[in-house]
Parts: sequence; structure tokens; C-alpha cells
Amino acid sequence: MTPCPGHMWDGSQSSFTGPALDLYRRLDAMFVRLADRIGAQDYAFPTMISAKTLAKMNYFTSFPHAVTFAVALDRDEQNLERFRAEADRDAGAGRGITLTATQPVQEVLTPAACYHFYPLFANRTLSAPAYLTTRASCHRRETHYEPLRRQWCFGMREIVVIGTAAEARAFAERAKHEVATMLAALGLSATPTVATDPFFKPERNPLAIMQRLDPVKTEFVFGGDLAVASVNLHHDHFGGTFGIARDGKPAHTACLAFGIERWVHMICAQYGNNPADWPLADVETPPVRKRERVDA
Amino acid sequence: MLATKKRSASMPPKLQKIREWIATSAGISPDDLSADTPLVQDRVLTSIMILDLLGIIEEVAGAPVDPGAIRASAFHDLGAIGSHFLGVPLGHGGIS
Repeated sequence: MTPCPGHMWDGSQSSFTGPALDLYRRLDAMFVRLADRIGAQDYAFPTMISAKTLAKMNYFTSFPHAVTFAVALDRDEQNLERFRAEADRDAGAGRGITLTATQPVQEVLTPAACYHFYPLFANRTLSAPAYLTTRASCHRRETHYEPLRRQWCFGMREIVVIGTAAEARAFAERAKHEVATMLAALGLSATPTVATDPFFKPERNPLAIMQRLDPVKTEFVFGGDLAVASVNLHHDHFGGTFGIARDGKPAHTACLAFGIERWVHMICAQYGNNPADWPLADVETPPVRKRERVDA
Repeated sequence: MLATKKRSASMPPKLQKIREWIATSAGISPDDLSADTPLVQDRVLTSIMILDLLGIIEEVAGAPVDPGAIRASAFHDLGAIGSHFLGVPLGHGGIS
């Protein structure tokens, strides 16, 4: 991998400072600028999302291998005593922590940014399409990790529409066009490719089978194997599940997702490790973020 | 509607059985399901139905469905299902 100055790797997730952080912020600012043009309202959500919400989406059936649970210990004093007797020593020795009794898991770490929107709009009737955006730290367990390319925790910017079938389709088509334009403007090449989500046991998962019969996911693939953005049509899956109505019917939804670390990787792979050679120098990051900046 | 009934009348019994199962599961009349009705595009076929449909196809065909055969073109409509899984020649029932 081409080194990216200011990028730090701990084996499953990245930290940023200096030029890499600046690039990360400029990329997200570029995505936010697109969201602005689309008329999307910006949201900020917490790191965790309720297990009950994900269960309504059949998430645990479809992606049990990818879930990261927010686990809490049972508050029983003896249980806590048993836990603390071993935890620091085991974790310090690199053996990992063996949990004692835990409470039932009610929350998990967000696996996809757009999942926060559908419960937020539950049981509402929309008189116009809703265009929405958010950036989330997303978490997905993988069999292996690679710096900037495949991480347990990564930044995802999404732009979402909730509307009629025609509005969702029109958004998806525009999203593909906008991503292609964005890539071309940056001198990058990523090929639009029909894809499916990484379902558990896809051969017996009805949602996975339906994705093969009705391709609804287009990924923009860089270097032959790295999806840097995806456009997804959900039909009325979320609208029906969460009782969101538009034009007298269950709402249709679609989303455009950017994996921000992967865009950092793409630019370093394409332009090298000298920040002076990177594009996006003309993209302004929001002033408040500049004040937060800590130089290396 | 007349044309639909005409096409369905010429459907082989095995394909007719699949047609009736899909129509019942989708909550529509079999008369509204012609051999060239787009099953996925028109959302007649949903994810809730798909595993059972594979089971029906296997039962009617008397053979397991090859996982590699599960692709969009094979499930576009009843004519395509007949062609891919039952050996019904493409073009039967008004499919061109």
C-alpha cells in the first residue's frame, strides 16, 4: 500500500492527522457539497443503533457475521468482581477479555449510516420526497482487515431519498451520474459494477436471492476489487417495514454511500504520497472543522 | 385480459401449477398473470416468496434448482421459468 502521510493503522481501524486528515475532511466536504446540491438535510446520529430497529430490517438474519455488539456487564456486584479480577491482566497480555455475565444486548454499533433514517421517519406520511444525509462511523466485522481498504470501523457518508418509486429511481440514476462525474473531475477511474450485499449463507437467504434476480446495487469499483461508492435501490422494503408512506403507498428508498477511507486510499494509490500532488486542494472544509484542526 | 387467458390456456400443466402458486401467493388472480408478465419488475415476486417458489419449481421439475441458474433472466416471467427449469421452449405462451 502507498503510505499516506498522517494516516495511522492499528490493525483494524485508522486514525488520521496532518495531510491525511485534511484529505479525509476535504473528501467529506465534497460529498456534503453534493448532498447540498441534491437538497439533502444533514443529520448527526449516535454511534449505536438499537438492536430492535435492526431486527425489523432482518439484519441479524442476513448479516450475523458482521455485527459488532455494544455489550454491557450484568451489574451484579459479584459478577463485576469476577470480571475485574481477570480483565486488565488478560487484556494487557493481549489475550483478550473473557466476559462474565452480560446484560441482554439492546444496542449494536452502527453498521450502515442510512439505517438511522428509516426508524426516524417511521409511521409518517410524506407530502414530498425527503432527501437526507449523514456521516457515521460504521462497524462491520470482517475475516481480515487492510489499511484504508477494509476496516472494522470506517467512515461512511450517505445521501438518502425517501419518496415514490419514481423519485427513488430518479435519485439512483442521478447518484450514479454524480459519482461518475466526481471521479472524472478528480482524475480517478472506478467502474460501475452490479453487486450484491455480503449476506450470510446467501444461497438460502431470500433477500440475497432477490438481489440476484433484481439487481439493485451498483458499486463503483477502483483497481478491480475496491468498492469506493455504492448506489442502492431498496424498493419499498424500508418504507413498508417502518410504515413510511408517500403518495398513498409504502415509500420507496434509495441511497448513495461513500466509504471515506477508501477514497483516501484511492487518491494515495493514484497520486502518491506527496500531498502537494493530491486533488481537492480547492475544496473548502467547514470553518468549524478548521478551528478543530490539530497539525502533526 | 382475453389475450392473457388465451396464453394461459396453452401453458403446459407444470408451468400452470407454478403460475397458480405465484398468483395465490401474490394475492392476485391467475388470470392476471400471463406468461410474459414481468414477475420481478412488477413486484409480483417478492423476497418472502422466493424460497418457497424454488421449492415449487423443484417439486414440479422433479430436480433440484442449480444455484448457478438463479439469475435475473431465469425469473423474468413465467415463460422464462418454463424455459430455464421445465424445458418449455422459449416462445411458448406468447414469449418472443
